[in-house]
Amino acid sequence: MKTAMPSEQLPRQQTDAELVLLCVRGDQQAFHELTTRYYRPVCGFLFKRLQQCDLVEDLAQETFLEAFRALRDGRPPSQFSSWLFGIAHNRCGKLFRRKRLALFPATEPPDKATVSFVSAQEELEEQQKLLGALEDGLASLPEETRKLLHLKHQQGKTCEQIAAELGQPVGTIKSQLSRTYKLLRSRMGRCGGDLT
Amino acid sequence: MTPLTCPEVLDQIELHASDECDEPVHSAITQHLAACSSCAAAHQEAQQLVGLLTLRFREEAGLKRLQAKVEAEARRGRGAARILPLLHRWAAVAAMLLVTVGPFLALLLVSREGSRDLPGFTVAWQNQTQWRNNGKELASGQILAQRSTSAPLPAEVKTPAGVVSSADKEAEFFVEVQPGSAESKAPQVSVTVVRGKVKLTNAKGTIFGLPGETLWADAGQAPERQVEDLSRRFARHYQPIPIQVKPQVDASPLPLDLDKVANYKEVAKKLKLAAGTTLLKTNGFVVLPGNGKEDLVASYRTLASAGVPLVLTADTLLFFYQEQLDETLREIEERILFRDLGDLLRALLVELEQTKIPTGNKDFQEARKLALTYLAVGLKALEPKTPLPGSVDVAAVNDLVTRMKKYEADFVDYRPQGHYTRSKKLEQYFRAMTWFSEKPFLLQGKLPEARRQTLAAALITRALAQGKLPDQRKARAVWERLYTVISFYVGLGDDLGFQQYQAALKSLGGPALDVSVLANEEKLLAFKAELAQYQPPTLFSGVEPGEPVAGVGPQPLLHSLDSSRGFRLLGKRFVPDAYALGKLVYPAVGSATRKGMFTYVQTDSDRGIRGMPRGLDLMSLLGSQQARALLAQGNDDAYRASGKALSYDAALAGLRKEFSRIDTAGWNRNVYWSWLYSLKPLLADYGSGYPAFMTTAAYRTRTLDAALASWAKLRRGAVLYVSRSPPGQAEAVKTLPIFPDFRDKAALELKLPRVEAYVEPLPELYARLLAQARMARQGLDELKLLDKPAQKRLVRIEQFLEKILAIVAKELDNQALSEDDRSFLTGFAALAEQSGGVGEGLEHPGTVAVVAVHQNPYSKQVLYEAIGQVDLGVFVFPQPGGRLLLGAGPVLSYYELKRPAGQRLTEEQWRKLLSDTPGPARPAWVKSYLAGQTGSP
Repeated sequence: MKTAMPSEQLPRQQTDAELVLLCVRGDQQAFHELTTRYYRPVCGFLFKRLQQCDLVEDLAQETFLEAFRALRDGRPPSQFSSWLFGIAHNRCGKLFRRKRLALFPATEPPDKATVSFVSAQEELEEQQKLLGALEDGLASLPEETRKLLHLKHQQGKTCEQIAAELGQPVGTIKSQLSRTYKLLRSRMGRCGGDLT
Repeated sequence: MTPLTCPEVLDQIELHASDECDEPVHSAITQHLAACSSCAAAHQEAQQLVGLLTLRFREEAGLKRLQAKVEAEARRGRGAARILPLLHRWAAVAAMLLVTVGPFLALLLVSREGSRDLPGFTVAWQNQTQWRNNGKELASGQILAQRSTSAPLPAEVKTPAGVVSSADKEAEFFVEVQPGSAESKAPQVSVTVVRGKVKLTNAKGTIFGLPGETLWADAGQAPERQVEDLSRRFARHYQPIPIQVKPQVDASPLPLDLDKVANYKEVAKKLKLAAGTTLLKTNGFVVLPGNGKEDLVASYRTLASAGVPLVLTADTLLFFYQEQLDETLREIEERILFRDLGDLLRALLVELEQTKIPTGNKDFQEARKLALTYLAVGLKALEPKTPLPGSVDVAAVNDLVTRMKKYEADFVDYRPQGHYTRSKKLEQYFRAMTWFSEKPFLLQGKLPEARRQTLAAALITRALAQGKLPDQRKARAVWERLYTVISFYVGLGDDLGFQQYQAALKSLGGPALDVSVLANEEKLLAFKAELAQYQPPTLFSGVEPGEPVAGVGPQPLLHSLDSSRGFRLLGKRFVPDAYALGKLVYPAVGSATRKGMFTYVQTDSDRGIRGMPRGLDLMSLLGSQQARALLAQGNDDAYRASGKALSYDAALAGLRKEFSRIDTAGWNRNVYWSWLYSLKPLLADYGSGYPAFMTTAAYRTRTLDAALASWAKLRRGAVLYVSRSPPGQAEAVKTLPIFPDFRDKAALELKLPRVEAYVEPLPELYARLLAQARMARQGLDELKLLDKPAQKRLVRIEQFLEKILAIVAKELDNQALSEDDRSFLTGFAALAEQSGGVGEGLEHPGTVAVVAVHQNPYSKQVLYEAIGQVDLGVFVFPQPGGRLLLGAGPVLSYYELKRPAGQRLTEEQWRKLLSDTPGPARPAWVKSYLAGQTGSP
């Protein structure tokens, strides 16, 4: 049986710089590749500062759109990842400055808003480590448990609703969920990821 | 529900984080988390996991959404994209021209890409930038500047509105330049500091910014520092102190065999303990009623002189720390705020006199008169001898100030309390500040009065925004400092004020705040409607009115306004306990199902309502199971849902949920909030590993009372109860001495016999106080309010608390104390004496205090929280090796009473009540730990 060489099995992954160049030339697929690559770390970066999923998703979208506009307008950065995290960081800053006239805005910014901006590389490494461990943890779960997490976190259902849907007692669903969370937490803790 | 242990909490921690616990468990866990830092850390981890999972599972949908947006954006940009490359080529030529032709082609703009190096710094990121003057000046756009560490020159970014610079080696900052617009005409720059100290300078002035702060300037105005994040500004100084203690004291079995207490007979005789023997045996501790003294220091002196081992109680440490902290406020008020307020008021009066108003408009003329009188009354209350401008109605002003000084009907709250009784200057400051926090310019009311009041508020707003003091400081900056200091100690404003009125005025009168537009009735209505949009504060709103209400017309908005809403120069402060207690009485809570409870009030229509809250409500909310049980015992929870009102249980559960969302930084946003947060460990349950007395229900009740007493003291606002001299007799203020340095052996030289000593082992409490002390020092330092003695005062307190924390850790770890520790503890009485001012003509701060916290309109009664005289706590404490000793230390006595409104209970009257026979009754629950007491409901 013929064994494919690695280069034949998988196309070589394009570097950020190559993708950025393609984006500047108007290749939308290249930008899509960059978003797939960085969406999760950028969400992690924002979540660390904002702690609110809805807000994180909004700002992540704004971050990528701003990046897209800049690349489309022919302004490629020398280092894509630092540049992208810079935009995300700036978006956080803007969020806190939205109401300039009111000295004290109604929606308090989360307390971690003014944390120092560590280097993008450090941030990226930290995020990758943490999210990698989460991914490994998820991959190790049986299909049934993944479905449970899907219902809870993607569809936003409560344990009671899930129990009704799956025809199981609420207690069983809660125990299963609790066990799964503990497993994931311990995996992420073991990887040295700083959850907080 | 019984309190949960750490393992039980950890078992459910993730379900709690994902909001999947049933209510009783949810509340029990929330309460446990409030007092247990290790479980709280685990909870934070669990919350992070839950958040990351949600993001992870919603990622696919998010990416799809993003792709659709990108496609739409791409479609929109296609036209522009065809032109841009041409523009860029043109820009490159322009850049070349700038180099060759020179800076005279100023507006040939060049867009740069990626990172770039400029003298002293690197542009790590930029967006939509336009540079001019040979690429040296940022004309518009955003950059992230990072200081080049190797660069000899300071980082400097020139902009049309000012120069941003920093000599800090690690400086990093965002700069955003907005070119001049048709509205403002001047270009603007804002700088957000990420790292280091950054300077913003223009022809009008210079200002510095630290991490987290934003500086702002336009070409025609001096730079300003934004303080928009004030609600949390100081929380960044709060660094929780991790507790490394694993309690492992071998608790002696209860009831105690007193024969096993090494010094029992000797000490029991000295303390005349007979009446308390039963409680001592049962609980391992007992509190003996005091002998009418209110001096904590004297109590330690007496005990040490009698050779009784000392117990440094939590009450004592809270008391001394609170005293020292209050002293810093008094110093700042006397040294800075008194003068600033006077200067500010004079400047505002001048500015108001000069403000142009529409000629012949009677409403404006009356409004100006009103505003002048308002400011002049405050100034005259502050500085009675100060001359007033000719345009002020001096007779009216003098009349109001005289009534204020006589505490006539409308002025009962103007009687100075606490440290404000210590000098004439402080009394005057108290009255002036009370005036500016109480007297409003109402938005609603009968015409034309309401119109004039709103116009008067607008005139003051304009004067504040544009006035200057003779020393060239901006009136606004001086006002902001006053506001910020008070916010740091107590909290942010609870009323509409300068910020909101300025914003509303700007939207109608433009950047120059032209008040004359309000002569138009429609514009005036729009102005009021704009203000009506600012909602009253809530627990999470940054406690400042903020978010506008959408989709509601001006008239309904105005009708929905509380009749008391209006402008206050330095409005009342939002405090969470008042907020919570307000939500646990009628009309938030429904009808009574029984009669005769402490909280029960009958309305005019004979309906039984929860008309009075209790201190227990707050403590229950802060996590005390004991408080909740006591409320049930007294039937103070027997209220059902009716109409829109909730049952007591539901109202409490709602509040608990609301409070559980406050994180550590939220709790430590200022000194007041932080104090409540510090009290939480007093409300926790202590189990195995702690001394026997701490594991009893009676001890939980005792610490509950300690927390209630400390809250009563706090609730007097910044006013602590140091009534060394009766009001009106004090002249010069004696300063409370700084706590001595315990490391200075001379300070510990005892004139008292050396005795054994023990600290009530509550590490989490002391750790929180220490973290708060550090926050206070750093926060006040940031505001540049501390002189050297004040700085030293706070540093000494920190050192003292650090030492206490280290000793408590050893006690709980069954370790023997070092000679230094023993010397420190046994020398405590001497230290306390020195800090209490012995030998300097000062008495020690007394414990007696009383504060009104709630008034019911039906019963016309006021609820008071109060502290009485010192009681004596007697404790059996363990020593390494299993030896048991009997020791004693003073504890505070807590009271809660209702009195008729209109006869405000003063401290002197309260002191007299305490000395009456029989004196006021203690709460019924004290009988579990107080010898010979029956108590009242």
